[in-house]
Amino acid sequence: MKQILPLIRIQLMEFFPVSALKNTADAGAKKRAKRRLTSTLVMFLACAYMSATYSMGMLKGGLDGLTYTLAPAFMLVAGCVLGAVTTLSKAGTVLFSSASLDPLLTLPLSRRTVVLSRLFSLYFEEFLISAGMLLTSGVCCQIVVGTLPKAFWPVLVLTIFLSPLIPMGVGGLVGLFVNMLTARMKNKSLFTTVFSMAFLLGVMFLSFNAGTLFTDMADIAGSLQTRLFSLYPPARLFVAGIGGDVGAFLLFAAISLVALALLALAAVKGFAFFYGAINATASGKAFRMGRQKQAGTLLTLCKKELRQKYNTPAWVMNTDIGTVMAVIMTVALIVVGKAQVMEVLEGVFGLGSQAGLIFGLVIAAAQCLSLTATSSVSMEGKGIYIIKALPIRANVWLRSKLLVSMLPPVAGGLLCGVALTVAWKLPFWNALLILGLCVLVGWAFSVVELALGLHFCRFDWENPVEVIKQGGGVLLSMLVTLAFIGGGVALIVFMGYLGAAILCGLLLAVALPIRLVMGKRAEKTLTKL
Amino acid sequence: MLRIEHFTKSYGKGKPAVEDLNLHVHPGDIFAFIGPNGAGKTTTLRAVAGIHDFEGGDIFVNGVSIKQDPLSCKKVMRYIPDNPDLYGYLTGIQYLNFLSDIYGLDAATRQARIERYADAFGITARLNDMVGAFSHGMKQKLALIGALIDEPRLLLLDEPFVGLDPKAAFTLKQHMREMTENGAAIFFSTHVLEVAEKLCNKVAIINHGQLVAQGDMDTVKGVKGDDSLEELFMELVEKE
Repeated sequence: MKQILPLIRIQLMEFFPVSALKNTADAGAKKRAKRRLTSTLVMFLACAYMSATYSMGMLKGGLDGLTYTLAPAFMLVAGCVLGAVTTLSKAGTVLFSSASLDPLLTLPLSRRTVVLSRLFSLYFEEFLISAGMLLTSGVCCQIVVGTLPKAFWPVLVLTIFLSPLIPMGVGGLVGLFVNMLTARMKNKSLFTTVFSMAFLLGVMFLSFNAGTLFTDMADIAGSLQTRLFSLYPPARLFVAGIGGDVGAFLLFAAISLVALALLALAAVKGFAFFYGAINATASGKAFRMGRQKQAGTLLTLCKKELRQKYNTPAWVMNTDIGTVMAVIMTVALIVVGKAQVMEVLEGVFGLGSQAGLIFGLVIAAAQCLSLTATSSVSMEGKGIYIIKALPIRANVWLRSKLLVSMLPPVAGGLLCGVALTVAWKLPFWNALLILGLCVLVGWAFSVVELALGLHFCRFDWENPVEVIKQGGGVLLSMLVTLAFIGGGVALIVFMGYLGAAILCGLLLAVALPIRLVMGKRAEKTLTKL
Repeated sequence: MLRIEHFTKSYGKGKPAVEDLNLHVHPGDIFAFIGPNGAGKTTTLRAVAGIHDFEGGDIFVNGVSIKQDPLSCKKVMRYIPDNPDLYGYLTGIQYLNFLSDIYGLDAATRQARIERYADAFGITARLNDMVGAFSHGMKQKLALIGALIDEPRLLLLDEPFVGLDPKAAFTLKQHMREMTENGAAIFFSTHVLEVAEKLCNKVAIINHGQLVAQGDMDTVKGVKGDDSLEELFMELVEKE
């Protein structure tokens, strides 16, 4: 076990490159190290901010009787679902990618030591997210509720360390299984993505029981807690634990450790198999020259961007999930039926007359999660020199990224708008309203996120997850998205169509100048990247 | 074809990586750019290719300044790095079609040229495979094909023979001679001094960011009375 400590130290240096900051004379390396450190800290702070927003909302919303358990339970479930999804898509490469493993395998280290050190790398990122979310939620509970059960803080702090283990175990095992199935497939990334998405949505669909969601609206807290427990059953044990049930918490701890142990066992025992499967490559059929086609620069850049996206499971999982959620929401609304939904909108929220706007905003807000713009610059990676060396206008390159980023909101907006309008026999303009909001929101957010992506880019990554999830631009754009959703809802709730017009005006007022300046400075920006 | 005037590039506030470099590559030249590790070869090549910005001097390709009109310069030159990080998510043929679209090659021309160069380098059968699955040598070959299909007027290569098998290295040398006989110019860095000596008509030696020798191969060797480029190189570099 002594051998594992230096390996863990190296993993930690990825997140906290203090040594690079102190020791390197290379200004570029220092800058990259500062960015990595900032990304780590911003990730923690963004999770804390999100947790504070949601927790205070729930606590101050007057959800009596469940006050000090609902918020932490929500954060636990959110963190775990996020952790499971990301572990599913990256477990194979983090644990078994030859690029990072080969140097270690030549050293006199046992495979168990190497695998455990890689598991630590998987764990630490989820730990930071868990710490940001749970700790903040606990602080909010302390401030609002005041007197908490004695077991609250010890259980919460221990859960910060334990909560990443079940999603790691489940996500990791499913991820390894998927890698095993797709080992020799040519489009294995695409299959991994489709399978991961289907798995996630299947779990959410089966556990969320959307059919009764609207009938349970009268008891929001109870309904939400029931759904949280359905989605993530160990949350029930956690909630019992912070209430003082030691046995329940010990069971939660035991399940967490067993999940980790199963993943570790599978990884160690199946090392040779998984290493071979994950690093295997499929050979296509021998190439025979056929008729080739010519395309313009913009189209070819868009095709390249799309091919990269659908060959990077983590990127698809972190973006297209928004469009998928929007489609699922629309289907759920159609299934529940117009009468029941309008009854809730009018009866509970008093917003029956603004139904079209509300749906449009909700679908558009979900699409904000679908945008590739923030990570798209960094995703060029070490191949950025290709774009810089080729005779490509920088503005055309940027335009291709915006177009690809806008595809999901446009497609999703069209699909959802038309489906809802036809199913509910709404006036035709509702479909246009929903599509219009999705297009405007998609464009405006893509522009802002692209600008952030240009500012916070880094190209030295080894694993694309480093820039898809951890980039400073990604985290800032999450905060911007949350602000938009909160502000947009408030404007529409209090000012109706006028509020929507103000919201659209604000989006244009912010995004248009950014786009114009971005275009004007494009060549210089590309040279300096 | 290529004129580098008082080129200076620094990384951060320290000593410049390249300082006051002056160099001229004419049409028909195969110009070797040699120097020890960290001398500034890659920095110079990347600045010429328009990848790096630089503080001092200017670089002219066909009389056009890379600072004023980088797009025009990039239309006539191609660059291949020492470690070609290509798009692993594309197949070989998709990558070549991507480049062909950027160059504006019509379908018939690209088809003929891809066939020619892929057959010459022996990777035709593998063009359906993902680039991410290629070995280093195969990526190198694909990168070379990607640069050659447009028949550029200036070819910039950073250690092009690393990772190439003997047959591919021979094929590359043949194509380099063919290109320069048609009026193109090649400016490349290498550590393989025997290749530079046999292939190139001109040479420049750089050390610690400054040129220590440049000119016709025979003239440069003759200055110190050395029989080989290797002896001259060792003499100049050890003196510094």
